[in-house]
Amino acid sequence: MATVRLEHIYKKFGDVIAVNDLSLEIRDEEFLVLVGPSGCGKTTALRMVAGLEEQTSGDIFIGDRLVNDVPPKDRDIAMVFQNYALYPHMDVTDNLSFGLKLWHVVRDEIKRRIEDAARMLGIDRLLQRKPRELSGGQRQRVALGRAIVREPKVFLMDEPLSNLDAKLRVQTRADLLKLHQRVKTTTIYVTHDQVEAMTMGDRIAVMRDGLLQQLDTPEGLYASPANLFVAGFIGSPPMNFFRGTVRQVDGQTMVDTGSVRVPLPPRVAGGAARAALGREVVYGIRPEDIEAQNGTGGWPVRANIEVVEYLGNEVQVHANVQGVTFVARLSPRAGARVGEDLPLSLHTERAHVFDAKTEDAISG
Amino acid sequence: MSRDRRANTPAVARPGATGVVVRRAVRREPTIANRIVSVIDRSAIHFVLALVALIWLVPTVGLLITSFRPRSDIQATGWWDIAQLHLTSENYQQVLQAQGMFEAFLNTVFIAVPSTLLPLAICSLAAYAFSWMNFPFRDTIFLIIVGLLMVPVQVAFIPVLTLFRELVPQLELTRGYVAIWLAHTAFALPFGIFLLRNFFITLPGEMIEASRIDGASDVQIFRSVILPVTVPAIAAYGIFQFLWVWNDLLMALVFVQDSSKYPMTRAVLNLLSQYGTEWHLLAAGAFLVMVVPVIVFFSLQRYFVQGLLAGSIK
Repeated sequence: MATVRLEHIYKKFGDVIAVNDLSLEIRDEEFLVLVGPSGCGKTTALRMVAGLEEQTSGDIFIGDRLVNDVPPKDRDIAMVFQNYALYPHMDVTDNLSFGLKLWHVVRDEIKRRIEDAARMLGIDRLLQRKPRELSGGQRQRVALGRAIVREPKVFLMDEPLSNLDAKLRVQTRADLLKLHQRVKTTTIYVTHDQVEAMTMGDRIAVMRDGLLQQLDTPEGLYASPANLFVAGFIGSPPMNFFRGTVRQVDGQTMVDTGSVRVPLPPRVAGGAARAALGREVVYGIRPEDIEAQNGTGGWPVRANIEVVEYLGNEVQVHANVQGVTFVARLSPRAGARVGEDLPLSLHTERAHVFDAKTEDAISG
Repeated sequence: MSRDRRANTPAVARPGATGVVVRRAVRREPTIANRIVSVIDRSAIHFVLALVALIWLVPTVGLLITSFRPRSDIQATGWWDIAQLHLTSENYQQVLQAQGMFEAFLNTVFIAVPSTLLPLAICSLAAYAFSWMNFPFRDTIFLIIVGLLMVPVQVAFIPVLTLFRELVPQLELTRGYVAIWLAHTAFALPFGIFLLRNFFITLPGEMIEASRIDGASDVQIFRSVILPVTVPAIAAYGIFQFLWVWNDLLMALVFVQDSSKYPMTRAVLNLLSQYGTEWHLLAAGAFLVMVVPVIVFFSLQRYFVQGLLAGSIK
């Protein structure tokens, strides 16, 4: 069990800055997810923690030990790779015990750890098989098992679920969480999938172009994204954005898109609202914060329905309000029909406002 | 008419045909013309292959028959004169006993085995370093080695021989096998390193990284992870090198200077110069040289084909 601390980590590949001044502290027993689009530096960051890549500058601590010059094998970590990276010529037992044998762990102990891990992962009947005789899900479990038997201080996982099919991925996601609750090993988990990040992470670090955008709990990221990128990245379908200018209308501070006016949310009040006056902003509202009008409040608009996507438990409608289009998640009983007008209410109290230039969230 | 043909089709297609053909016949009912064309298509390929094989085999078969014919027959008629065929193993006995071919066979083994194992060991280690270790100028050095592929061996004979004889004369390298071992090894390195490195580099990097995290040193990674999964490529290269050394005459002429250590190729050459027209001995000697490569190839051809393919396109 250990904390992992990254201090001002830079990684340059030639002229490209893959990781730009990354400082991050992963708490003991925490499950931290590094998430971002491909090429954002998340995998590079993970590989630097593993010691497979050397940072250009900055310090990495595992526990209280500075590990900058410590080779991967002495960092007391275990890594699960995207393509599993099993040893194809060894059976499952040998795959699991390879590392332990190199560390001269006594045979009874190796046997105990393999049996424990195999039972935990449900692979105890596959121990004599070679990797090529296993399904993708089974291989993935063996790769996890290889990490578990090492009993390391830190697990590093590089998109371990991305090679599984959708159904298996959901199940393995839950299994991984259960596993973490059991072994409580500090984990850094890299993914590009925001759903994976939201469901698994104790905290989530969102990265983009090598820069850390925001580090927060899933609830925190969802409720108060720090900037436009995080707001658009977290949540599915993504937040609706439209550009407008902040104006004073009839004594109320509104965002005016030219055709539609919506009030500023309460989080942008007082000084922040006054400072924003006249500035160009991006107004963001999540699809789930738009409802069919039912008299319970919200900001009323009349929308023309352009597309209706029926999903069973909900419909996602693409609505148009005087040239401004957005997606709303409605109840199937809301009566949305293509081509017809529908009165909607926007829960503007949960909306977000971002500076159009800096893209940072504006709040008071 | 058409009904007749339809009724005939399955019956024609069934005997001796493969499952594929039967299914195609049932599904599409090819006309007789179709079938004739497809047979001709395939037989054209078979015909060409057979022709190539025949052209390739004729001299070898001729040599084999000649090697079993008595001297008088050889001088009277050609080997294709089956009517006059008397077979004898006397040529082989004579070559093996009187002409020292058996000693030469042992010499060839003594030359070929180390000259295969040494390059194998060095090339696979070097290929590992060039593909999975980081050191300064790695790719530059590799490029230089690939560049050495272009240097014809003949160019280097005189300098290397001078080196052996004059720089370290007290070792008397050319009196024993050491000179030819070293020479064969050295000249084999560029190609071996090139071939094996290009195979090793196709291994998944994560597998090597995983073993590194598991705590394996470079030596352990090489022995426990790389070697077991690259056996086909290494075996293919080993066979290749072995055959090359076994059949080599030129290097043996230059680097083996003790006549008691001459390999078979050189011994056959001696037969030729001693008895310019003694075809019966020459044929038997030449065939003895060929036997081992043929055995090696047929017993290991699976590795040979697989490994060469694996190295190039995997």
